[in-house]
Amino acid sequence: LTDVDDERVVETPVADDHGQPDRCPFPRPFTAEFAGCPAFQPVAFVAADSLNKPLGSELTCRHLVVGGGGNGHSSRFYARCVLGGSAGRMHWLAVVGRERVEVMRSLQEEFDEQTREQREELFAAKVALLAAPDVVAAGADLDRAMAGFLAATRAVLDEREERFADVGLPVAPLMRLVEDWAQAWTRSRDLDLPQLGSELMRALGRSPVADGEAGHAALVGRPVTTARRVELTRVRPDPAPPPLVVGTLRVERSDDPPGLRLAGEVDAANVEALAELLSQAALAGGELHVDIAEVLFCDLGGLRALVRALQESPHCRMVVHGMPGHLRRALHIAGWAELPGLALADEAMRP
Amino acid sequence: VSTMHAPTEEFRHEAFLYDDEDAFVRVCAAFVREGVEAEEPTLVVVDAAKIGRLREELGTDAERPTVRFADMAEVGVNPARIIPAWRDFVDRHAGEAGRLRGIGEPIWPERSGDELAECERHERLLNLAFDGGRPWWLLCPYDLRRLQPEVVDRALTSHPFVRRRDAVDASPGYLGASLPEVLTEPLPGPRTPWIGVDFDAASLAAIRHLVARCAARAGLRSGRIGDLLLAVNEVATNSVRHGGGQGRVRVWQEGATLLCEVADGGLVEDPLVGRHQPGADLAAPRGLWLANQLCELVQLRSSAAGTVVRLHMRRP
Repeated sequence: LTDVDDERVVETPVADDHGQPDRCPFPRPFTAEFAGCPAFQPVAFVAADSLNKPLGSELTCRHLVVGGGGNGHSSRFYARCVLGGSAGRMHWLAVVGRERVEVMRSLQEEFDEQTREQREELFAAKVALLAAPDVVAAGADLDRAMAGFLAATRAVLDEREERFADVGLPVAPLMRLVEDWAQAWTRSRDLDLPQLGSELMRALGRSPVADGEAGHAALVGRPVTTARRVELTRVRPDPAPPPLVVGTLRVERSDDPPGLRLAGEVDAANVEALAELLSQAALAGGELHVDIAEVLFCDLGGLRALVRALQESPHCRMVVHGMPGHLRRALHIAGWAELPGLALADEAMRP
Repeated sequence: VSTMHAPTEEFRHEAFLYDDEDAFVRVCAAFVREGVEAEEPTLVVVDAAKIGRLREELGTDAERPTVRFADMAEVGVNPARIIPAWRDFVDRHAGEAGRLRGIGEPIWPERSGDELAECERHERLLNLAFDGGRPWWLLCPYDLRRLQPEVVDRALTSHPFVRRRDAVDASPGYLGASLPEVLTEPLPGPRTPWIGVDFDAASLAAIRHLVARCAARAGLRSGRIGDLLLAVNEVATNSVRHGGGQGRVRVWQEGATLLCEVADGGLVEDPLVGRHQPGADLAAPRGLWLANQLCELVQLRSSAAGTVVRLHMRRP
């Protein structure tokens, strides 16, 4: 792979991450139009000053937590992305599915819009209660505001029942989660305003949407360092070559089984470079494994590159791992579903 | 009934204007029976209710191996999928002598304005696709009572023959198979778009991201969003490769339909583009074919001013 003579193929650039690979590299606070990060999941929150006066609404991301401050490389705090670095975010997207992520994002935004008024009332009622001499009256106001918020939330969920189901979130348990949160919040001194995001997140962690162990780990935010890759480097006398990055596509070579592991997106911006890599790999003959389980998007040109590499190398047998349903359908529509020498494997490629 | 007989050496495209469903069943059943007697393979593509009534009327003739039925709601939601279906039927009988028969009703009153426009283009394109090829006889029923009169008038321009009750005439308004305006006819202006963004090869990923956001906001299910991304990416890739290297994407909503438009400076010359089932040739274009299989409707217009492709995705 490293001897491919092509200007489009460059090695992974090392970003200046201050020794914190999971530092969020995007400018914050986010604007409503922010589209820089494909894993971005906006959550609106109302900031308050020390006197509990609202300072206005800002957008943060559901994946951000406060990092640092401990005994790591730096004692300074930073915005830590629970998905890890760029590769971790891509992995999360591949596991959850980009289209699902977009539906979740839209549902979150619609929830924020449809319940903004009720959440503002809730905030005001809670502030009043915390400062109130007459706790009973203020408590009644808060209860009323909470009832209004829960009714608005229920309406949002019911109107969108099928869309919530589409992303693996049956609305009945989701509503129960919101109600549990509401009870706890009403009693606490906490001012953080209700957000659907955290509830979605928790529910997703338990739902069948998270395909297996890896998905669960990614969703609950464990850093996505795959143990197998670490092990490979340790066992091998020669460290594995660094992955090649061509625009939004990352290609890793595997010697056993012989093949390529792709992650990211394949389109007109990088398909020629990919076609070259595939053709070279196929020329060796024998079995070639291509793992596309972490490919977020692949256009017809990418599928054509697979088919062409196979057809040009009569002694090659290609096993494609982890092809998602919509790509199988595209392969079928394009007329390439039943090619001699091409096998589709559901399971991921062995390390 | 002798008027049922037509010359056997060419493609015969005939509009059948029926007054009521009884007339539909009587004439169509007679058409199928003639095919059975002449051992002519016959394919009937109409809605499921009409298939039921025809089967009832035909009795055991409906079970003949030469007679097949297909639901137009499945075959022809996107009318651009109908010509490939007929092509497949004709090709299946390629080595055989004799004529084939078909009944196809792509137009029903519930079709939207855009769908009707595409159905009418489909009827015109049939002449281009099959004139001069293997002889077969296609009967296209039109519901006189329920369709707008102008829809029927336009059918007379796309069909060389017209049948009313039991009389068949040459259609005086027929415009012929060569119809340059099929591609150049402008589309109605879009509603206020949600986004309008220029793109080139380097920004296809960003375009997909924006379109995915719009589609999620419009309420499309995740699987349909994936379909739309594949389709819009192929159309935009055509702009990058053949349409001057760049283009503009606009997205807007009309009722329960999300529209995604790709415009570029290129020129498309084949009016049947997107209706050729791709064969073994790897280099053959497949983008618009794929879009036609994934979207409810694809509208393509092209002239010296450029090319516009509109993809329609309907929300459930």
